[in-house]
Amino acid sequence: MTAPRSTFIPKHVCPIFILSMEPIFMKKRLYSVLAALLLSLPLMPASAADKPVLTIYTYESFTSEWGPGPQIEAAFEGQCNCDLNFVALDSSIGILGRVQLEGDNSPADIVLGLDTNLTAIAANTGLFQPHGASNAPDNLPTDYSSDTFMPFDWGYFAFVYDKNRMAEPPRSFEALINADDDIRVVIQDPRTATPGLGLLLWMKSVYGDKAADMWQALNPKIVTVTKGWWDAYSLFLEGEADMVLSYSTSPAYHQIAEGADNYAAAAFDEGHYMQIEVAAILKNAPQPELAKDFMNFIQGPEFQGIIPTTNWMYPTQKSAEPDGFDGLIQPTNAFLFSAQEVADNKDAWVNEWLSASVR
Amino acid sequence: MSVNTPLSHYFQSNSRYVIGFSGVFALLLLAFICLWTLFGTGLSVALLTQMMHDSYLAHVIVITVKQALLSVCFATIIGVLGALAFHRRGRFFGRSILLLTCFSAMIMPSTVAALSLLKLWGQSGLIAQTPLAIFLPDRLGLWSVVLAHVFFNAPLVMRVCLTALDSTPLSQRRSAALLCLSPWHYWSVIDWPTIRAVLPAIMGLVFLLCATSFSLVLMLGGGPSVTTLEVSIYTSLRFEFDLPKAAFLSFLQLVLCGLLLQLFGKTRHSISALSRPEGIFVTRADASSLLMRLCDGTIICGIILLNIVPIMLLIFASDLTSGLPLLMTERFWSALTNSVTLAIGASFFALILAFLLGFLAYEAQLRDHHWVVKLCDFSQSVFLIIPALVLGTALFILLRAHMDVSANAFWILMLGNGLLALPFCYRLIVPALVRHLGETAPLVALWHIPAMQRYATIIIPSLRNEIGFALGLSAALSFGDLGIITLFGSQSFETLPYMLFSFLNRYGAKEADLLALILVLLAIGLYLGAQKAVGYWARHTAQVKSC
Repeated sequence: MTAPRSTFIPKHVCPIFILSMEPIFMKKRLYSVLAALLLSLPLMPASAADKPVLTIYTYESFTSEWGPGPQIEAAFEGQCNCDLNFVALDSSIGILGRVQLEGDNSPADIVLGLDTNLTAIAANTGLFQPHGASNAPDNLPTDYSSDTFMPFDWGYFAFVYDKNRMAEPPRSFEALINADDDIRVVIQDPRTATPGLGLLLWMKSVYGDKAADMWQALNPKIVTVTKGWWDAYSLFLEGEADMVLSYSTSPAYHQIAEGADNYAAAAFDEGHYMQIEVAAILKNAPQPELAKDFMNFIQGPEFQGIIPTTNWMYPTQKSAEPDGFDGLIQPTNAFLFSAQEVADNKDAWVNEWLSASVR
Repeated sequence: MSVNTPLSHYFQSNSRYVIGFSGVFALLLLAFICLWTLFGTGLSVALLTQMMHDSYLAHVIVITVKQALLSVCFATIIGVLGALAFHRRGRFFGRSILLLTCFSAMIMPSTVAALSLLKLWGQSGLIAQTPLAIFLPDRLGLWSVVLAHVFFNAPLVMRVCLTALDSTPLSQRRSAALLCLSPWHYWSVIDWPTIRAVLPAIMGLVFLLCATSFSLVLMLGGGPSVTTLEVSIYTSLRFEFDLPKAAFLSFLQLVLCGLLLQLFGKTRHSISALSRPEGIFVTRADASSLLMRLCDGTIICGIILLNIVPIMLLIFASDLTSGLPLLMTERFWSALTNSVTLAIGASFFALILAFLLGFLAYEAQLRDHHWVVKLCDFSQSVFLIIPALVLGTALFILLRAHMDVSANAFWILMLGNGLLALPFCYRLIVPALVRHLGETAPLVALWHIPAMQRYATIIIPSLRNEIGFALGLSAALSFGDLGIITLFGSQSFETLPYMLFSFLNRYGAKEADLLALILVLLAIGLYLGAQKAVGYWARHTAQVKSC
């Protein structure tokens, strides 16, 4: 599936060059050029597949050059005598949406990148089968077990700040809410972004029935609520906000990849909400055996060793945790609602947040 | 036939009427099928009653309308003022560059545009570092959404009004110059009637664009209190996967926008002067006074500050070098190819549809069938109001049993992007087409010119400006679009905006800067290239025929 990188201009660019360079005043020429153009469009490169192909749907950043995808692909292909094909979709919600749209005809074997807030919804679609893997994670700060969904990494949601701009960050929701009005926070929409939903559940874990009032008290600090994680994070990096809702592992990226140690996550006394990312096998997977092999591979040292410094999350195996992660905050308390609780209450809680924010 | 048979009767063509009707019918049928498919996945009375009692939904409707109307007002005022200033100043150094740069805001990816706006207006932006900072509100909210909408749409209004002003008949302008009209008289006798003719259509379009705005609203709205129906449709579709709810909300949006469009009056014929060639500049009598010079200078500087400075800041602040390796990857070139072919395909598709609707409008006008003209006006904007994502989802569900949808993503995208560009194409092509069909009808009847020859030798060459502009704009819009592709895209089929969007999901996405710049430049290139190509082709055809 990896195409040679050396080709500078692929062959199918040519029709466009014809269109722009040749004089196109002759009608017949124009028509034939257009026809050739249109006919050449949908020609997809056919894959020469003599090996079985394992198709995995995941989110884009996983498969990007800097993400874990390429290394994991090489590692697994080295041991399975198969072709691993990552299909990158825009987000974890995009993955679930795609398999829901495709239903029983989905060409995917595995989806990788759902999180525990989505698993109950995913399980209710009836599109998944037990993973049957024997290896279990040993690095989760909470009990999590599922026959269907295999954890592959996890993290805490946290507010990230710039030490150069804010020397003393708030150490709890209480402190954040009562802080001076000049603290500016940017968060994500719980309806469209995983961290946004994480914050909603975090507030709910801490404040329960009082969450709506607390949201209202927090609102004056919130600069804006963005659609996705990147929008919020870049607003923060651009200086539009003092704190951004992200992961407790975000500073590790700046430290390890950029050598910048001025970013840190604020540790909150109440505790932090967790996100566990999982993979699952589709019921109608074309390659069920290969898929099961991959599920075992997930807990192996190779996969786990790649994850922390490419996906910037904690590995699910203790032994795989890199040195740079030592300096990260260690929450005393980890919150996690069960998948079923989230599925049952999410709509009501989102509505509660909406009305608290509009009030 | 009796003596009373109107002359127009002789120019009617039933086949053209039928062809036009089939176009409108296909559009409305597609809209109906889309909503029906989604409703068909399980519309329940419970859902409807729940929606009726949803207080947040009521809030969403109110705020959607409010921000859209505010945006339209400001965009119109600024656009008209800008057009007047540019018109009064006539030809000056940098005029066309300024106009083009203004216009490029329209075709920028909205996330990038929002960031560029914040580089100027944001808390750590340029203005915040000046004493003017005290005037900046310290939270994003309604004002920032309206500002962004003005940034996007004022250039469009300006461009339309300016072309209308530049094409006022030479005789009028000469008389005005001879009579030494005062600025006020100039405005009330010449400028305002000219602008008034084009305003309803362009205001309607801007209203639709603002009411269905989505990424900008989420990024700059400052929270869920400033939102649009489009946001709710997106969340119910993507996050809740509640298809009937999404269909219901789309239907609501369709009704709401359809009704509100009536506020702006008829779209028909209103932009007829839109893309007449910019001709001779006559110095206006009111242009030379010091007050007017100051006034125009201020307005033009304001436009530069509003529309051009953010784009410049974006370019200067961006880190272009770290994106260079991207140009060596095959992934980039294949995304580029996909985007360009898609843009060209979609713009031709939109053009053909616009012609079909034009036929219908013309024939209906000959027959005094006013309701058909209304239908025409409505059907062209249906797919601006029904979100592309709804269209895409419905098509996916409909087609998945019959074909591998992902492998045919190209065609669905072309359809979707073409439909998205149709409202622009329609407004550019149809008024001119109707006018030309009317003007050439006696000639054609007299000489029995066959239909095909009529289009090849008369209509298309004389509409080359309109066609070039429409093709260019559609291609540019389609090139930058990030709608349906989020449903169908994957690394085996991606477009440049999708590639950009997928970069924006991880830490340190430095290549995004270069990619965004390439995206904007290519969109401008397509926009200009299409106009040049059509102009060249049409001129040459006309020359050949006249020999």
